[in-house]
Amino acid sequence: MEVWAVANQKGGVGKTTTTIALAGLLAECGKKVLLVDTDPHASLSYYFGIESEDLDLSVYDLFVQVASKEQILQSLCPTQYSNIDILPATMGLATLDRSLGARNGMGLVLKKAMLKLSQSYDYVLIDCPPIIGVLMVNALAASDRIIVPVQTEFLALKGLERMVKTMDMMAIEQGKPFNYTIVGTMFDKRTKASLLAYKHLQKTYPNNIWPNIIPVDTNFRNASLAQKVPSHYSPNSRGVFSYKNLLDYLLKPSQRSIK
Amino acid sequence: MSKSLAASKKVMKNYLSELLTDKPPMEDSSRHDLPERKDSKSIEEQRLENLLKNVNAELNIKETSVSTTKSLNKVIDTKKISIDEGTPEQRQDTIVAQKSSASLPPQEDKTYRNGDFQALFFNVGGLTVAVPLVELGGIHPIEKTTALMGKPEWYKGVMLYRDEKINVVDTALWVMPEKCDEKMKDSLNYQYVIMLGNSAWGLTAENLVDTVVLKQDEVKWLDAPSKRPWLAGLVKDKMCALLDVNSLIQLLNDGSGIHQDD
Repeated sequence: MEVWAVANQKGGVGKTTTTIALAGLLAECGKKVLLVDTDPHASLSYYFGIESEDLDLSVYDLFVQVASKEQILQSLCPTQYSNIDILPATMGLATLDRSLGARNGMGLVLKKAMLKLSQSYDYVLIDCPPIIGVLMVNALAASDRIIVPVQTEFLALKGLERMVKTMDMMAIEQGKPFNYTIVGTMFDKRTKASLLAYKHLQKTYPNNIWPNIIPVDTNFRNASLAQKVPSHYSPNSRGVFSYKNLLDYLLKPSQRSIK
Repeated sequence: MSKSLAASKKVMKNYLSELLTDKPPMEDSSRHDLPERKDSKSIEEQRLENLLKNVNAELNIKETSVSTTKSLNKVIDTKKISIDEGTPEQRQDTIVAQKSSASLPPQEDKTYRNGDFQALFFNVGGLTVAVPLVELGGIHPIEKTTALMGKPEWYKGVMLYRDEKINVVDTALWVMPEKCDEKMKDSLNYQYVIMLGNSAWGLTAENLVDTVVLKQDEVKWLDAPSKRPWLAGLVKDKMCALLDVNSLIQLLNDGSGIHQDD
């Protein structure tokens, strides 16, 4: 099982869209995928029509007490796709930093939980909250690979700088570097800002930037309205085509080892 | 590197170090595999229980010399009503303990007054209210409340949540008593209890709206002492109240309504 976190400390950069798009494509390849929603906004859960506040169990419960494999499996919700399940988020997650804060080992809860599911899924994709805290630390610590979507505009570049710093500091704590890939999203070739921002990314992060971009595509929004993964809703759209390229890149043997 | 940047890095390093350092086995025993989740207590609940125990222990010494506190009235009140679990003495201890936390001095340093901070927005009776997340004790689905005699109208009752007693405040009645006519009371559909800090007080909420990162200049701060100490400021964009949780807890402990003359 491989665990990927989709993370950026800036909001609105395409984290949830990237998570869902990749999950859909992996599922189409016959992989069994678990989505983990660690964002208290629960956008990923809502995407699949899950009213997480009505659920008895969610990611939150992993942090309240150690759960057995059976208990974690009970927390999972099926989606309309037979090989995609989701561990939903609740608003209560927003209180974790305050209630559990920096207790020793609280950054490793998700990692331990995912280890218990290692025989049940091929891939786990974690959608992270847009802020550094116990949830993001958990997601990063649990992951074999970090995908960092960055909107190709200058404000987002600042957010990326912070994200990379956080990963650097965590890497020191963990004693191993992160395998992370920066993905330019919402690229609009008609705007100079998008072009300049992408060039800046290439120049600043030459070893970690995916050498392509995810374009602006209204099909993503329409797919979310239809509560379908993009590759199911509009398989031939340019957005889905780009995510296919991204997945091919991520699955290349050369990309699967730590840089 | 500037001093503040170095300090910030150090704080971050310590934070990450604690999160990523596994607990020693002794400490880990508070989180262990249990057959039934519902029967077990969270770390937070155990922390609250310990806190209450400590306060109780302190009170057992002090109670002999204190004779004019409101808690005496509570004892009489609680004896009049019947609650299934616990002896009257136990209930008295709990209520007195909750009272006593009110006498703790308010925490003056508001951590959310530095830099960006997150706030939870919730709705009640058409009003949106915000609470800084750092002062939020938790969110529970509302359950049955037991009303207590002699309490203000805004005191909805005691709610049991995983063996803890929560003092539930009817938020609409507390925040806008003058608007709360029978029609409005009937229309209120409380679904959640928003816990205030480490206290046993919880505010009822109809809907949870969102958590939002706020910048300092997005709030009109009311730092000077005012007639509304419970109000930390106004969120400009949404024109809604941002609660000063510590002051609000103190008001609730004192049994004060929004106008402080109730």
